[in-house]
Amino acid sequence: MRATTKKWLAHGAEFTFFLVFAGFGLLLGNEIKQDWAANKVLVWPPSFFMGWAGAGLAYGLSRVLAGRFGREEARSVLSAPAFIERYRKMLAAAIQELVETLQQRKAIQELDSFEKTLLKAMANTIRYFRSASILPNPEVTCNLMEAVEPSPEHENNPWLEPSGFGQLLGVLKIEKSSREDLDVPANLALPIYKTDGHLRNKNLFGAPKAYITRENQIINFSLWLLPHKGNSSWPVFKRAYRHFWEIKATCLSFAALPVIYSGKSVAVVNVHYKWFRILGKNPEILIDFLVPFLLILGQVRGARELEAR
Amino acid sequence: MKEATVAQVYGPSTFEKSVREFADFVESKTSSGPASSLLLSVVCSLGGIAAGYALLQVFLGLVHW
Repeated sequence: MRATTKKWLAHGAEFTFFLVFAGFGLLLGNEIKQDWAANKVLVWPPSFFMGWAGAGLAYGLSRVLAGRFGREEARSVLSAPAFIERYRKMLAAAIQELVETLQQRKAIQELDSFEKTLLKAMANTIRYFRSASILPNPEVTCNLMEAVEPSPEHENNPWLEPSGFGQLLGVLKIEKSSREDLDVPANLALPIYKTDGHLRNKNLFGAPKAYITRENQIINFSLWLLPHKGNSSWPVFKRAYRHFWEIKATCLSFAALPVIYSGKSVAVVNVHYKWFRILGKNPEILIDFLVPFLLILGQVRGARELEAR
Repeated sequence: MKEATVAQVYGPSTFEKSVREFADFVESKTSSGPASSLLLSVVCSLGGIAAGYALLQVFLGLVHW
């Protein structure tokens, strides 16, 4: 049986036993309590308590199985021969282009084109994976965010912590996108704070935190941000809520993946789409397929730095 | 005058071509995927409700046996 069918059957069983478990509790609560008080735990014919507890156990088991089949599905989607063949071809071509880039010191315009194609490759890989495991089929957008020097125009940045301008290490701005039409505000400028300043722990979740910690940031539902608040002040956090509410038609979840070159962050790739869980329930499986592109992107950023000197 | 893109000047690179080919592959997969998944989820949901109701009835029958 296909992993997808097994996953959906397990979800169906999960739903069934949830209904039975909740139905028992709501309709026969008094009888269940009486059975428990009379110690009718393992009797025949079965007591109400047994039915209720059995449904609860079956619900838990179905949930565990659905998770396991979900992982199996993710692995089977990402190991399908047709996908692997095309992915390998794409990666081999990217490595070849990287080698040429490093050997020939290409012009900035060519590096721009290479970076944009890398973003498209990542967006397509994520879209392939997600469309195989969810019902909607939303477009995936990959944006490359680059840290720029703070300038006086950033003094009134709405994302800035109170009196945070003097503590700025830089500002992350969208530089490129995998799509022609940018579906998030183009003037987005997210502050990142100096690692030795008093605001070092106030970096906002998402891209700023990914840039500073060099760890992936995954936000599975961008309208429920409380678990990601961290040490951000309430005005900034409310601003984040307002921002994601305004762009809810295009972004419901996102991930920020740091681009690292020579051990330090040089940019962040922000991926979003208009559904939950951008990288799925088991993101580590998909991230393994994105890391090669992030590494190549890091090398291209390095080549760009050399070119700029 | 509008600046020409790299692809316009040099033609698309091998990498760009392979990404386009991959995009076509993803598009062909996604055009058929959601319909079958939707059908499967509807069947599982309706089946879940029916099975839940049947299980409850079987159990109540056993209790009043």
